[in-house]
Amino acid sequence: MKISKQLLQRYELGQCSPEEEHIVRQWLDSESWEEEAFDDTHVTDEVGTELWNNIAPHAGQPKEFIVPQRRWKPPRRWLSVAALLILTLGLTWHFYSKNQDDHVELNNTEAGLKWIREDSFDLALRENSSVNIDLRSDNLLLSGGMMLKPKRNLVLHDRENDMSFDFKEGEVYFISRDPDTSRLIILRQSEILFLPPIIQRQLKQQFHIS
Amino acid sequence: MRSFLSTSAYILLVVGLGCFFLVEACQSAKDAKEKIPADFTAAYSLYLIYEDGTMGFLLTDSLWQRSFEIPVPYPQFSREFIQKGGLFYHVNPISDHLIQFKLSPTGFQALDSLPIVNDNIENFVWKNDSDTLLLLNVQKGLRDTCWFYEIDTRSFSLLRKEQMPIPSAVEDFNLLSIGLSSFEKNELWVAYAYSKIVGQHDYTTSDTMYYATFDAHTLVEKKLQKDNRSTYPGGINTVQTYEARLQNGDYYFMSCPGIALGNSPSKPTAILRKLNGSDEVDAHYMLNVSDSIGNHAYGLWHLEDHNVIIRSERKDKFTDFSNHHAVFQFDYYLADLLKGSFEKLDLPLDKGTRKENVLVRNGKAYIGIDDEQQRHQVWQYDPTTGKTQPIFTSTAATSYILRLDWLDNDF
Repeated sequence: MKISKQLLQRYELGQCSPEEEHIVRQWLDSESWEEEAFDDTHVTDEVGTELWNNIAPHAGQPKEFIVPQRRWKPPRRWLSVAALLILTLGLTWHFYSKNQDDHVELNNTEAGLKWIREDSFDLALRENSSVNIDLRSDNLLLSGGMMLKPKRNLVLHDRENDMSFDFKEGEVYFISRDPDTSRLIILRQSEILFLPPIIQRQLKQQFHIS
Repeated sequence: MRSFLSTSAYILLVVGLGCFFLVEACQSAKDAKEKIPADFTAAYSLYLIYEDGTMGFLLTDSLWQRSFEIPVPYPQFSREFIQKGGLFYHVNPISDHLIQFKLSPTGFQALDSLPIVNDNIENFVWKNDSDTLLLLNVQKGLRDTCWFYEIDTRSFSLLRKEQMPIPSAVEDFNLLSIGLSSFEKNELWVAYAYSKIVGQHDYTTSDTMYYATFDAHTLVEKKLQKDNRSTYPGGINTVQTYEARLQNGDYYFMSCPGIALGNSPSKPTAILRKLNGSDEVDAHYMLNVSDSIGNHAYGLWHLEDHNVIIRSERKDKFTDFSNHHAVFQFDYYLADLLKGSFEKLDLPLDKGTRKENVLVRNGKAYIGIDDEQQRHQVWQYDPTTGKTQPIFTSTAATSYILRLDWLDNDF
């Protein structure tokens, strides 16, 4: 039996025979949306012409495209499993690849600066310096000096002195290890003007800043 | 599900629009700061570092009652500017040009510019208090060289640019610092010192101060005096004042061997003098500041007669140069140059290494203080009563008051 509009109307009004009721229920429970369902809604030429005459004056105007909405149905179980699998694999890959980027180790024995551009920061390492930044553990190891420009807020831990420091996104920091006390000296760019002019001059020359 | 999605979309739209209008509102507020009302006459300017590290000007009226914020002309602008009669001069480090600015109701307006090799001025002098500006800077390179510029600021034209006959190094001390300069009777007097780097973050200054007198026309050196009672005379005078000329023409200056300038702290901070009419520093006069107050000092401002105000550090408060600016440690003393006495002014401890924040007007001193209570205030010191009191509080999100200027200006 074909599922017709009349049949569905009768179903809604409770006028179906037990056999018809069974067929309609079966159809509703299935996921079939075949075109055959409404095959008796044939439009005659006369009706078609009348409809066209009604809409023709508006045909040239742009109309909003309306997508027919379908009732949301829960996906099948295998689809859920596949989605979860893809999500798990995606997240694993994302964090794995991120962690690869978040570990930086650099040594500069040459004259001049060595630059690194990462997702989380830009870094310029001074000559005779080495740095190891591990964003998984937030650890910072530094000898010598560097200029750091975080691209997001960072907290780095100096294990040598067991101290943590906040670095704000967008700021520029000059960080160096005091060879005498082994303490980290951290200055924001706006604090450089307070340094003795000779140290300012040295920093400007080392990091090519004006 | 659909209702959840549409609710989320609605919330996002509302939040988004909210942020948009907030940003717009902030932008409007920022714009509003730049417009000075017609009935407002700026008398003083405070040069501030804001909490976010940016800088700007806060203008106040002569009664310290109304104030308006003005942004800096360009991001590379610094405290190392010269101001006279409401006109500002600053070397743009990007273009290496000295730019003349006028303060107008809509903010800073560039008037003219001149090329200057180097990105800072070490010392400036207004020739005979006229509109002729004399600049001394040090071109840094393999060998430091000192250059002299004479500029007519009315026509804003360069009258002269010449290399000064000042040696680039003495032995292995190869960093030249010009600390003081004065112009008298067609003679240019310059005090300088030499330093050297001794480690990644360490340097020291040789134990000698050099005072040279030059013929202002030929720049030929007429006299050279060496003084090892202290070291590092003065400092960059766009940043801070280190000298005072008394009514009778006697010229007093300070040496700064502490860690914030000369970094030869075993030498004492001293006040020395050159008497009126003499081209030599008085070998028999020295006020030993370090012995008197137990600390080094940086900054000296003439108050009245033979009294000056000095700004001194507290060695028990800071660790080294890395936190020298950030700790609340600076005291102000009233020093009597003839009696050699020092009296501490009743002011909160200040922060910020080297600040041009003492201004004397009509016999009273105005001092910008950034105190431990996070207040950023201008204090008034009246020498007739000996009383200090705050007269203005910055409402801007201030971190430091770096400068206090009197704008002899009526725009």
